[in-house]
Amino acid sequence: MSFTHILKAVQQSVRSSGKTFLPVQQAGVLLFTRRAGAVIPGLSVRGSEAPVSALSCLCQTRRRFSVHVILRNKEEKHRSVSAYQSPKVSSAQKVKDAGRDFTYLIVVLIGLGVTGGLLYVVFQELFSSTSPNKVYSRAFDKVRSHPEVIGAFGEPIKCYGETTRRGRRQQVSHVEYVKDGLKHMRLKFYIEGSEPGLKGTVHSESKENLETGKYEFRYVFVEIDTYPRRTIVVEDNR
Amino acid sequence: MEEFAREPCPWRIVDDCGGAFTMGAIGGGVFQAVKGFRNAPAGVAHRLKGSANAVRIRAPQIGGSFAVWGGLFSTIDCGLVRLRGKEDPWNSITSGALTGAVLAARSGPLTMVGSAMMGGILLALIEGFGILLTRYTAQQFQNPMPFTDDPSQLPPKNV
Repeated sequence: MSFTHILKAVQQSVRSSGKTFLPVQQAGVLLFTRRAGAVIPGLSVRGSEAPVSALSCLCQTRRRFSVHVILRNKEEKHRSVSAYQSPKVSSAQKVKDAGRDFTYLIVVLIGLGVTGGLLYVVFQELFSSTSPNKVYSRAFDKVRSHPEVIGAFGEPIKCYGETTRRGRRQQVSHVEYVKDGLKHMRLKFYIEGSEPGLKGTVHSESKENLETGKYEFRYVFVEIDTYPRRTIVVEDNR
Repeated sequence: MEEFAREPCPWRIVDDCGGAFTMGAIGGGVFQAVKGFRNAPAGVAHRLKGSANAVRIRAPQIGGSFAVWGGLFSTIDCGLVRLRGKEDPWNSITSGALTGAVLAARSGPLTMVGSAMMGGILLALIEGFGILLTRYTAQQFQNPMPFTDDPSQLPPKNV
């Protein structure tokens, strides 16, 4: 009868998979239940002589086992489909995996590098005292507290840089150059006050102080852009 | 000239909202088209249909969430400009972080902090990119021009 064949196959599979969680007779019983198409009779047959804990254990192992048998049957039907591959990896596969991992590693590293570079630029711009942004902020503080500027423009004075196409005005136009071995920076930005229609352009130049390494203003002046044109000199250290 | 005369701020919100929606819809559309194509059952007709379906369903949603982000970001940005009276990269970064926090407000304070950090870092990256770009273009434009040596003619000469 084919039953014995199947039993043999099961035995083989148990041996080949190397799992010894089930003695073979049990497998035979379970197989029987599968063939009968009912689960309860097989269980009750075993259960009549086994304590409850063993029963539940059997219950679990049985499920695992029946799955195994099904897979095996499938395997025999279509040889090409390998359902229960052993975890052994061929060396070609290993090389392939390593190559893929390496590519991913490179991509990740490039991403981290770009992110780090951009963050470095931002932090340098925001926190270094020689960055255009810091100088801009200091120049604006000087301009804002100058009484003549307040008198001309009106109290809440705001400042902005060059308008980009997208309506951002955060970038201040600046030129850095070296003269007599000292770094210089020229800045240009715009201010507006509460007086309507009045706009001013602030020009400033600062020079590096060799002792402190910081920028010191050479001059800061405001040029009023609307009709009665004049300049307000805020600071002149030339 | 008209462009420079106008105050960008309140209008920029609408502008950013629409821009973000377009960006999200197009980018999300492309992404979802690929995803729908790959997830559909086999057969070119099925795949094209799945792709179209995914785009139809998901792209407007993605665009919408982008628009919410963009609109809120721009609103906070404008508010900060108004409050501080100053336009610098801090505005963008702060408003990015605040937007992240506000949009995650319903998932608890911890998520809010994480989301705020993500938003802040993202906007810092974008700002960094912008700064680099301006530096680069400035270099290209100004190097060949001979620099006027004297300070500009406008301030009265040495006092």
